[in-house]
Amino acid sequence: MDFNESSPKKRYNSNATGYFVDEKFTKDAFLGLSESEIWTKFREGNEAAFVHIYEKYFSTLFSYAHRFCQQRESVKDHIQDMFVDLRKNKKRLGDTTSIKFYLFSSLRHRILRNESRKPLFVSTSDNLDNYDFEAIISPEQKFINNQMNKKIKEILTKNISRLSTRQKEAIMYYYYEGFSYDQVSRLMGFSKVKYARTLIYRSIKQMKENIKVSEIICLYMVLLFI
Amino acid sequence: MKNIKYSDYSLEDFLQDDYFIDWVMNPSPESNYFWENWMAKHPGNSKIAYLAKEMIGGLEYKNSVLPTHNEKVEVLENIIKRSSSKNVGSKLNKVLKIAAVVAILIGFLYLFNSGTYRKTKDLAVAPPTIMLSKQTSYGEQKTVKLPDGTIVRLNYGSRLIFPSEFGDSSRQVTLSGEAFFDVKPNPDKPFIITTKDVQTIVLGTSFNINAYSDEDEIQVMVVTGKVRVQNGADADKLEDVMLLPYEMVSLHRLTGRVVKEKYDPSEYLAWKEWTLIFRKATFDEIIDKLEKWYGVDIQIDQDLHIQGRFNGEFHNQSLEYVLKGLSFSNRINFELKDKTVTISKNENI
Repeated sequence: MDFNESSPKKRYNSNATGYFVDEKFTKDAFLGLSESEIWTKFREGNEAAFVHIYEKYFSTLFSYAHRFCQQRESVKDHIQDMFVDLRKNKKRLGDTTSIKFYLFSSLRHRILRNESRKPLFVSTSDNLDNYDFEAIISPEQKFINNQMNKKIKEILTKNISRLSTRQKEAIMYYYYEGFSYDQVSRLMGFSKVKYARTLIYRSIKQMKENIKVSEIICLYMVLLFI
Repeated sequence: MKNIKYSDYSLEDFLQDDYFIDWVMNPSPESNYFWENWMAKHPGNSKIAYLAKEMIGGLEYKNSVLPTHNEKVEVLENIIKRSSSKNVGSKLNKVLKIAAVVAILIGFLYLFNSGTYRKTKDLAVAPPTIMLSKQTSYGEQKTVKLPDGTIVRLNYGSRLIFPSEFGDSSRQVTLSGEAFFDVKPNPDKPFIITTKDVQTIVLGTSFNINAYSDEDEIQVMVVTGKVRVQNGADADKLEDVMLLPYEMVSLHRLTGRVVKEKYDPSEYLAWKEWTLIFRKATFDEIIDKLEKWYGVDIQIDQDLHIQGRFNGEFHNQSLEYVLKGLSFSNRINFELKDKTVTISKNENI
């Protein structure tokens, strides 16, 4: 079986391009272009590429920034300033295969430089907890209301509450935002990828403590008969 | 291959497997098929996978604060304003400096020559202003540079009328069809574009006007700066619309309905880059567009009825190529002879 994503847009030589597809397969003009191609267009001054990037990531960036500083106005200012700077320096920006990662790291850097009470010169990996990062993680409501499940939910809630801010931040990047270990470590300023891996692994272990696989049998049976 | 790998996975393994995490967070038909199949085949291990799924997918990031639509628009406008005002400012400064140098130079010459050239000055009072016209036929685009340095890009089947020299108080041109204007900034001389029913007034910006007489709507789209659009059809009911970057206004010729909205520049301004774009276009709309874009006549077989809507995007592409694309997604044959295309049903499929 082939799990590679197939894109409806076929590209031909670099000058002339074109495709025709049924309307239901495409959403916007940049569909089929890779993140790095869109980023390159933006760096070349293509306004449509900028608007595309803005439209795609503004909401994500907004809720991300809001985890560091709770005033909407400063959240907007940070995002605005970041984009103004990126546009101003577009010719000097590096290449990227993940626009989201590029924007997240620019924004995080900018916010921590301006917002954190203590400046961030101390960047040894164990001394990074002195900034606010709001990530209240909890088992979701949609957990099916089943006796066994309730128990798992309780344990999970308890385990998660013991995670540190840093652990929550890393877990959010890894699971929720889909960043790789390498990207997580670069975002959080770790000197080695290993640190991100260990941090996330330890968090997972902590989360699953006292949960026994055998306890979910009931739940599984229920699911089979739905 | 994957099936074998996953049979000895522990809970931790699942929680750290990219393909598994991706399925939980962004399920697709393919990954759903794979994992449902896998779970059915491995009832023993699937318990672990199920728990892992609940642990990842069941996590909720509370207090995810989202922006309002207005906040999104406001920040975008600020970004564009702050990026473009700097450019305009520096360009304007340069223009002013040059203007100052020219003024001093002229003053100097005038002093120097005032005695001898008084008569030529009188002669120069009424320079003959003639009206010029630039037009494009179907299948054609042209760039026009106006006397003030404004650059106009004309799309197919359009006509621009402008004077050889602009007047003292304003810069006035007349347009039919579609054009993109990059207006030279001059706060003292507003740039006014008259089209059928609508007047567009600007000081110095870039924007697009779509005013083909065979289309029901006139559209003005702004890229940078501010633009004022007046509905001039009825002097009493003069409507004034101010537009900011990435806003457009459409005026319906028959109903007189005026709609102001955001637009996607990659769709509406693609023509300047020789990019042909279709969005949810019907077959008839596509044919009509192709006739004008390539300047050809397209004959369609009476028996041919094509339903549905299509999206398409062609950059710098030949008509033959586009037609091939069209015949791929539909069962049609086409024949291209000189400037005439015949499209018929493809019976061989």
